[in-house]
Amino acid sequence: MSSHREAPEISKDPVADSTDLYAFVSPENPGMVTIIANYVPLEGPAAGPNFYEFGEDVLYDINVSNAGNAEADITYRFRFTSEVTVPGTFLYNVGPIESLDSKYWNRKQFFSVERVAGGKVETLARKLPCPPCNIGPLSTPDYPKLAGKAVHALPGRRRVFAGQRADAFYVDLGAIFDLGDLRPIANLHNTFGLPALKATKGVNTTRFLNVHSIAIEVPIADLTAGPAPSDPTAKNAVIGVWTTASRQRARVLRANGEPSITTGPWTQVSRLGNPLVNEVLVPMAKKDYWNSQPPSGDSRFAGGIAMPELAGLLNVLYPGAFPNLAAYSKPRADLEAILLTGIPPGVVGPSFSTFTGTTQADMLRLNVAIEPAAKPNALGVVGGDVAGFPNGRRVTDDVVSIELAAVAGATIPLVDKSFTPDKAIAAVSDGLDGTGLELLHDFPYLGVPYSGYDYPTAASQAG
Amino acid sequence: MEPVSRRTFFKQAGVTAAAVGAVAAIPGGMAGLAAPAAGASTARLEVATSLGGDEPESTGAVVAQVRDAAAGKITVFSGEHEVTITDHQLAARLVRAGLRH
Repeated sequence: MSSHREAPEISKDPVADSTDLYAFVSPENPGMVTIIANYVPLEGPAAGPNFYEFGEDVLYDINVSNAGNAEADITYRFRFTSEVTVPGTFLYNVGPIESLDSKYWNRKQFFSVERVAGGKVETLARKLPCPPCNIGPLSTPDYPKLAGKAVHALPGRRRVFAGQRADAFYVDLGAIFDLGDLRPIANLHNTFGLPALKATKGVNTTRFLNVHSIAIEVPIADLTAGPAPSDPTAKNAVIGVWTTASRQRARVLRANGEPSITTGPWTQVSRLGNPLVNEVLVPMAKKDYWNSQPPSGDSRFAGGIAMPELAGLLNVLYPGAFPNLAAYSKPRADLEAILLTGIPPGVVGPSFSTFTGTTQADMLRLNVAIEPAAKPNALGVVGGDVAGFPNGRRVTDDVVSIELAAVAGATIPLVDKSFTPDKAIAAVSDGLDGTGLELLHDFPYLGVPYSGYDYPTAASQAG
Repeated sequence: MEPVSRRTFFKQAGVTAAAVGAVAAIPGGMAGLAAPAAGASTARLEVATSLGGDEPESTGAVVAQVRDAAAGKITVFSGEHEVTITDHQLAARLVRAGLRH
């Protein structure tokens, strides 16, 4: 969850809280792009009597800009409905759920998919079933097979899925938000007079947690202005992607417990392009405002990226470790390029570009003409893998380490050859590398969600 | 519940309004409002305070918010749209109704 509970208001609205956005050229299906938008952060596997689901009163959009102005040229729109088939029981299921239309499954969820482009709305599908949540051996006995049936084919060689998945984001939340503690270098932390810390391994806070995913796979030409390009420097090679969630402006609770009345225009309450932007680069007082605005207006937030608070804090939190960064007073043109405009050709290499134009906008930029890496490097472009973040974002990309290193100055030389990154950058990491992630090799790529029966494990609770 | 016209608005049980910024929920239609401009989800309209005959009923919930009682500004939410009208008398009536606790 690179953007979960990142703003005060959205933290109280989990079904509308976007947590991660991935966009990449499908490694198993050349010519296709996969986009995954996750919502509902920090789902513990065990639940009941009600299990996690999408919001029926939320409009979920995956937006794509391909005209260089950071406006949505194409939107894939998802709406959800739920049905209760056995209203007399308190249970989510009254027997084993072995099919998506199981009579034993009490509360099913369905979704519709629309493609909005050029002012026209094309309905791609109606009432597609979501899979149930992964409960346990009695309720969802063969969950992988069951969830596999919830991958739906759409016209135009597209595929879509919406439902629970294992969260693939890895981060040591507990340490990072304890005053920027990075466990591998905790011994260097300024503990402000409190007892010194010891360097230890990172702890993946999101391990064994689930999330709700909306995933689509579409032909590249579905997303680009004109035919799919083969030249990475072609004008139409880079698209900008962001996901939003919206709610209707007026809501009235009913006194009898029935669903609320909602009416009025849809109003954006959440958005996500690049990971970790609203989380760590937008001040608390502006986070909800950021969530309400389109990316095309992000020049108003550029100051927080050009002069990131986190960069200034690093030398305070780790005294003496980042002297070059501390002495660097210029606006961070490298971060503005990475996050707000994309990187033009010639900076990383002659045939690498994520540039979408001069409009500053937080969008996840994907160069669809760069082929997937045969051996992906989780550090992406920083690690020499141009098919990785910030060129799109793959499920395995270590965006926490990449962005920490970037903020710490690793990417300043891209725009300022006079700067020498501090040696400490090599140690800037939360100590995690995605070990243990069990992903799928094909769409929708995120792994089978953890079952409530199996997680937490008995061993994890041993006294 | 019977459909609501403006004339019966304040006779409708369960309809309340309060001071500036309050919201009134009307299960049926709200008469006396011009339709929003085509293609616009938000419009500002001047509406006469006198009514002329029955108005079409809304098929969904309609929620009214008195945004500025002094200016007579009322925003009405219906379907996936909103329209802001100016009606000093109606705004005043809504505010007075909301004060009846």
